[in-house]
Amino acid sequence: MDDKKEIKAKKKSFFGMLMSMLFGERLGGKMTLMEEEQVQSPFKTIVREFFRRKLTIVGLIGFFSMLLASTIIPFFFPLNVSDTDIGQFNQPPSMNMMRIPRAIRGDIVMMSAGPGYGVGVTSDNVVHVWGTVNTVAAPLLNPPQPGRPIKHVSAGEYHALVVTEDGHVYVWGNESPAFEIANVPPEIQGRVVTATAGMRISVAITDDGQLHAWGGITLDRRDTAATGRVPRGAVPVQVEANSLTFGVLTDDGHVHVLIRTPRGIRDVPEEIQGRIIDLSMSDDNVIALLDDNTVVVWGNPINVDLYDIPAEIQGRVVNVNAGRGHFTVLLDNGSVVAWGRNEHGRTNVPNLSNVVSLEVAGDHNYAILADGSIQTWGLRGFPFGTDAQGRCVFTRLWHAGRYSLLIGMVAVMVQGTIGLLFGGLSGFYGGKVDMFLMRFAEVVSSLPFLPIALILNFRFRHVFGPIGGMMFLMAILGVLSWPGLMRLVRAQILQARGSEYVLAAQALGVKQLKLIFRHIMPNVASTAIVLLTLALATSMLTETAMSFIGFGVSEPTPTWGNMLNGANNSIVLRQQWWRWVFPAISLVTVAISINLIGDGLREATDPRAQGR
Amino acid sequence: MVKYVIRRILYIIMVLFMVSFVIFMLYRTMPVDPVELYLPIEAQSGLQPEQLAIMRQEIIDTMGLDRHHVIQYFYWLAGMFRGDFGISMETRASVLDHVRSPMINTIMINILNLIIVFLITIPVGVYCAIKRGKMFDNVALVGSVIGLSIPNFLFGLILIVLLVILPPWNIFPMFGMASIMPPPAGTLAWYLDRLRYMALPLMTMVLVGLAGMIRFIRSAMIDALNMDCVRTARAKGLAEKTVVYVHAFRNALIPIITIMAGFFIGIFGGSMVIEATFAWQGMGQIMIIALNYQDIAVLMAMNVFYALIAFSGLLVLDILYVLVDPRIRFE
Repeated sequence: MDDKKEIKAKKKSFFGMLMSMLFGERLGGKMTLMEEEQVQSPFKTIVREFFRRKLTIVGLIGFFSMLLASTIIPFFFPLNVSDTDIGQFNQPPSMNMMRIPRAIRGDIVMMSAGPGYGVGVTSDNVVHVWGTVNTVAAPLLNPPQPGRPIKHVSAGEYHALVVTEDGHVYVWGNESPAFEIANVPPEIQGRVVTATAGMRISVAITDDGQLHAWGGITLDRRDTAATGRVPRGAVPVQVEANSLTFGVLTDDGHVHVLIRTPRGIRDVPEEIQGRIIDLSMSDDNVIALLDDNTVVVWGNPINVDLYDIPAEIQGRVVNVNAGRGHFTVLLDNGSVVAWGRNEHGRTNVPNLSNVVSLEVAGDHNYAILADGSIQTWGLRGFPFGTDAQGRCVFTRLWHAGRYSLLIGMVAVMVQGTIGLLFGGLSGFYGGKVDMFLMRFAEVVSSLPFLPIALILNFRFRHVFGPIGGMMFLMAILGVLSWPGLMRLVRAQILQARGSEYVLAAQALGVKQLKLIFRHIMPNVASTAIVLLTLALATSMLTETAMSFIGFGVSEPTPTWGNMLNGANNSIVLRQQWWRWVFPAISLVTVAISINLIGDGLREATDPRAQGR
Repeated sequence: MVKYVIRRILYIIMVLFMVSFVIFMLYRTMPVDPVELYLPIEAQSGLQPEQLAIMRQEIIDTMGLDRHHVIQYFYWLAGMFRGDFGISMETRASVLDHVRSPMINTIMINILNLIIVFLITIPVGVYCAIKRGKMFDNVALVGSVIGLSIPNFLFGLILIVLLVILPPWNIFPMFGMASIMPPPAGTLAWYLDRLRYMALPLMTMVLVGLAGMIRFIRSAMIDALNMDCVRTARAKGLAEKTVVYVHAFRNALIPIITIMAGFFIGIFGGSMVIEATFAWQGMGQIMIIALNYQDIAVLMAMNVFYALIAFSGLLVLDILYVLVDPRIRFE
């Protein structure tokens, strides 16, 4: 019994063989210190050589930190591929979107928030703007100073406005000629009660209860808003805007949505008409406060998960606000409740009890407290900026890293499997098999790589769907690049086959398969590993190049390559550096690290390669 | 030797047939009406339905589009030998006219690239091998690792930033093929204008090539310098120059030629991406546009072209082997 066990223990698997060959007998722990000093296994030499080079260590640290970051960070910053924000496109890197200047903290008497920025008026009637805006909206940061008492302020997507006590409107922001945002109808100046800035269109209510709109993309839209569908006799008291439309609340408690929108916003529930006292709109959702302090929400049917109002707040609400994918309401005891999808921490309400009013825009939340101070939560900024669709570059960067590394690794695995298999067969069997496989390898290696890969990917990626398409790309990258490895393995095996120990094994009657995998393959392993390490960098760079020209992994799945897609554009290169510098740095860091590791491995495994 | 070359040519022709067959089959599976590939532009407008039907039938007959795929392949092949590659979906011009000038552009820039890269890398690589471990060698090695790790299009973007965006002067245009109002064709100014637009893509290609090649040439040369014959030559008392340039370099030439062939095949793929980066009117640009338009006739012709380039590269390689290595010559 004992004997049998011993024999079994001595018999090792291929993996065990490989390990013991690599680690020496150290793992068995049978060696004394003296013996170990004298005999050093090849693997120990390799490890020592490998770690002796400083550049290799740098490469290891670089690669593993990028790998770790791309694995861990996506868990904390989940990617919502459909999450695009028209208000926040091409935002520069910043974290100050809600950072109110220290000098005016506690002194703000009224404020309004827009995407990325906020407008506040201090008690001395000075208009302040803080936050970060993209180049399109850059003029927003220089507000006009009316020098008169201000009664209302409203921040829109690309422009903002203030209304003074004497009824004048001051508009500033992106003044592209097509939108005429500053083109305030002269007849309303001096008579404006309140006004709202939407996306490039503004609506004002004058003292005679009329609506006036200006700006906007088309005359048609302006006309619709200007004539409105507010019935005669009803006096508008509040205008709410989102990027598509305006909602007007009249003094008889009705809501009128002024511009036809397709997405459910205009489907005001009939039973609440006449009872509405407060209204707030976001791009997809509307929230209304009724006269019995309950709230009602409606909007785009795709957001149906948002419309479960927490039951305990009904009857206690005094102020309602709709943001992007969430709602924030103020209760009668001065506390704040928010619900919805918690992205950018927009529903992480701090514990507040003395809130006077709320200001919500997109993902930004401001709570103005009784003592005049302001508490904020939600989106503070994008550390690496945003791309042309308003998607966070930071989040996409790490998700892209995950995909890019995954693609590279799987491609290398495919390449390794085919290369080892064909190389093994070819080298071991020789003759016709060798001849056929070598010719095949020659054909594959002489195919122009990129054109063929592009064509194959282009032809089949839609067949397999987004995930299947990515797997297909991995397969293509692997299937087109194995010949190099195959030749190397073949040469190594030919060399090993001529050696005495294989002859001895053959003489002992070891079966062929066992001979290949147990006696020959471990010798090939080190060379193959070096080659495959370097192939990882190549595969990643190829994927990147394919995605860069738009025929690799398709949007919205991020990879470093398709994040760089569109960067060969003078505006992006000049002004939106964050859109290409971050993916480029990550990509090059990983590639350099892998190449350094590969070089280190080669020098460590091949004594002849020293300094080559 | 002649027998060897002939054997290689026959072999390459056979492989080319196989590759073109695979390419043809790949495209035939695409959901595009193959008759469209041969309908000239007049068929788009001003034709009665009956006339169009007759025209379609004519095409189906001449191209054998109602026959088996394998037979269609031979029709297509025969068409290619006549210079008839079909009609571009995008421009409705014949494919040959559509790709002629971009093809010349691409071949020109790539051959220029090849020449410049080898003019630079062979001396530098050999120098690095001789001065192994010295400062220059280390700098070149580190540079080549960094260069190998930067994808070619990123090289392009970096060059744009460094040479076009940052400096106050404006020598190089960022994108494009020629000035909006180019000087009259054929004059010196016209050539200079072309060169100015070619400079950045070419520089990118050369830099990418340098990074890859210096290392290979250096290690081939080191291998050669370690050969017994070199030791013998030194022991004989030959001048170091003779040893390096006659004995060692001759031996290093074989791996260098192998690399050169690989490089030659590779640059056409690489130039696709670089052309796309600089919106430079070459084959790569044409191919990307063709992919967007699903312009099958152009794509098929393009793939055959790339395969042809690759295999003629292999053939040249074989012939060079014979010239360089007497062992093959006398085999």
